[in-house]
Amino acid sequence: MSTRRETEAGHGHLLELRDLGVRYRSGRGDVQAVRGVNLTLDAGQTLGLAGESGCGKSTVAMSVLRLLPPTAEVTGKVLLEGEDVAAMSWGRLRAVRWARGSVVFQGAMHALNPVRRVGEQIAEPMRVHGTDGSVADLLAQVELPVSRARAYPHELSGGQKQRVMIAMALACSPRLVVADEPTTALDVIVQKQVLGVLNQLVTERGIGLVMISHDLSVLTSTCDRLAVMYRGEVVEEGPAREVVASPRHEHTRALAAAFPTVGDPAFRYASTGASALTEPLLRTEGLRVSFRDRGGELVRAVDGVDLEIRPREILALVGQSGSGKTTLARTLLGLQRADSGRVLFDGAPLPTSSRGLREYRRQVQLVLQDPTSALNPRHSVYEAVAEGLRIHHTPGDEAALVADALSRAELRPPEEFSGSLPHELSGGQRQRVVIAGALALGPRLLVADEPVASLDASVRGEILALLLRLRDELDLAALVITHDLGLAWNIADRVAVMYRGSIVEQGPVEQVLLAPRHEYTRALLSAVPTTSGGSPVEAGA
Amino acid sequence: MSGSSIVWRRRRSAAAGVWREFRGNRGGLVGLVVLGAVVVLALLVPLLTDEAGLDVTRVDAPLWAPPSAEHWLGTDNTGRDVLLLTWWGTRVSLVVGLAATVLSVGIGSLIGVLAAHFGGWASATLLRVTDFFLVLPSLVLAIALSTVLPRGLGTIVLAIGVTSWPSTALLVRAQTLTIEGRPFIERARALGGGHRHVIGRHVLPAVLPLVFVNTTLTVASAIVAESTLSFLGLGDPTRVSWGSMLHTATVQGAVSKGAWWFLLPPGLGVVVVVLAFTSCGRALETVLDPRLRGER
Repeated sequence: MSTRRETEAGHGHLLELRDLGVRYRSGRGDVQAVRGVNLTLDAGQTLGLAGESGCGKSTVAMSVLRLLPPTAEVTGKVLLEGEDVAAMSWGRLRAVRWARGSVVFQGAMHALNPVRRVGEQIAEPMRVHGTDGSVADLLAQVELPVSRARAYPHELSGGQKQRVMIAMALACSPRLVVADEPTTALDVIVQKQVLGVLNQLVTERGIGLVMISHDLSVLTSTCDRLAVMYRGEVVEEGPAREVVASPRHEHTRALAAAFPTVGDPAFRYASTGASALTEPLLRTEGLRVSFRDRGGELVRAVDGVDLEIRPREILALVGQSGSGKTTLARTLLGLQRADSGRVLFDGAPLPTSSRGLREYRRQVQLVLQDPTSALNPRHSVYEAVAEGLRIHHTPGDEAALVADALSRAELRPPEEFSGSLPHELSGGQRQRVVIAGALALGPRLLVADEPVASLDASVRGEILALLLRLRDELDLAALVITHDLGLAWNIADRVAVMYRGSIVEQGPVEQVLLAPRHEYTRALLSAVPTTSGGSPVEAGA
Repeated sequence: MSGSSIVWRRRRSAAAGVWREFRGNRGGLVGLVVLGAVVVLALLVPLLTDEAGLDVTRVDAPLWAPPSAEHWLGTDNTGRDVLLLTWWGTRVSLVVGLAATVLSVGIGSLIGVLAAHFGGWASATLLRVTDFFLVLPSLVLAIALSTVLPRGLGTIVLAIGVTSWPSTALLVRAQTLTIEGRPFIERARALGGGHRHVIGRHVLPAVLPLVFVNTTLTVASAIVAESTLSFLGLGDPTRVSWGSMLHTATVQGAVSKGAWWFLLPPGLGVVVVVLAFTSCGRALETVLDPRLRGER
């Protein structure tokens, strides 16, 4: 059908954005999400689009296939193989979608239909477009066994689902693939596999890939060129390594600084706090926790863990998702009962009575991963921070204590924030509120479960710095749970690596991350994408 | 600046916001005005009319008289004014409707929240009890109850309340489960909060809007249930209600006599009050659940 079009495309680029602007109309006034974006992409090339949440990068991606909601007003031109997307008829647009350009949507967890087998879902675009192709071939391309075609989405892991999404995007052999945060929410090892699959497809099939992410290290390890967006505009564009190595715009600099290189002393913020001689504040002895899964199988989530946290120490617990990190944290807080083994706090075993547990939880506080859902949307900042004080009937002036906790969490002046509701705050401010709520009780140990995983790059550093300052000012100890080795390098004194329910390696940060002894620690380290290219272990070896 | 004053100011402004939204919903507003009028009329009836008009021994109007200038809605089989009967009937319908709803929603919310919060065997037991009441034909149970217990308003309220709570319980349980799965419950537990704290501070405030909406819809069905039971002759014989009027009309052969004026007013009364409650409930649901607000 398209010999003429292909010759036309031969002159131009695979994708060209000319002065693209997108404005969202809403009842509360118009929002200019994207303005004046000029980008080009040729076949066989990869273009990375970086930026924080809300900078308009997803809007740009959706405008390529005209997938924006009807409230969006698009100006400028989107040329797909020389053809203006805005001028296409509805039928033409349907033919172009997926056959020429396709999208790997953000959040594979929610983008798949839960009640249909993944094979049927991969086959769907082929059926709609009447193109040939086999699901088995597509699954092979994304390195999934063919038998998985009969699986339902919930039977697949996060990485497998993401690969199904990629297979779906490839179904009609498109020339352009737009991947919107394809590896967010995946842990490093799976992320490396998914990125590998995408890279291979670009080289083997000569497709053009637009990859969107807030993580510069992911983009530099996959993309030839990089465009950094800030407040709807492209502020910097160029070869990926060059942009990262010598950023010209300050926002690029902030983004690059937020993703640490393990082993680089510039990213090591921690000054060692605890001395090895002090008595441990919290200690576990042979801790075991198991669940029964749906099939009645016994799953050992935590399998014989011995851990020590000393006063004024930041211990990072790293491991892949599913390694039992969160279960361990919940057990330490007494939210989950252990099958065997002991948790000792200050030398005394964890109380079992509800009164004893309540007293214990004054000393040990939890900071959750996603501050947006960790705060009751109906409670103001004041109520959220005062919640713990009210539970424990803390004597003293409640308002003063709340103001004190807020200013310790660097929400200053506290009066300005106490009346706000969570949705009126930014992500970083919300996490500060959660931290303030924990601080209000004057705890001695903070358990933070992925404290910065859902925050923007620029906020990440601030929250980590806050944790360090709190350690210095209040003599707090902290157990930071993370899948991000860079975070451990940033702030931890010691690292414990968890794999399938047990601690396979623990020790001082420098020792574990720079000279790993266990196989799994090495695998984790080599999977970390870095802005400089090679992994720290290879570079060090 | 004290904390509670902030809280109260915010609650007031939230309530004002709800009212502003509600005002924008025409159906809900009409329902509310009609309800207000009915309630005012029901409250004023002893002041404006003479209760003696309901006493069969003290009326001297002709029997089965069609509407006239003197009796706007005619008279019944004993010569009582139908307008007066309908007017007085409003009181019983409203009282029974509201009281039965409070009982039903109260039981339902309690069981729903407890079943979702505690889980395990407590939840299983409560849910089996709910299932038992759910599959029980409620009319038959209500009839059985009203025959066993002494006849009176209290029995009717009890019969309706006890049979209509399972749907509320299931609704509240589902909502509670979604709230309990949210991380802020985990945070509250980690802060040291016990069952009472989690339920009182987090679960109930989040479930209440739903309960509130459910209440207005339950009132409507309770009024219908009251009419049904009275129509079947199980009501309080000493009081006039819309259901008992319909019962009398049928038994006395109003249909064969063509006495439409005896049948229509109580029937329309039920329809108007039920519709008013339903439209209020729907409007409230739209206001409180932003997802339903989409296109208007």
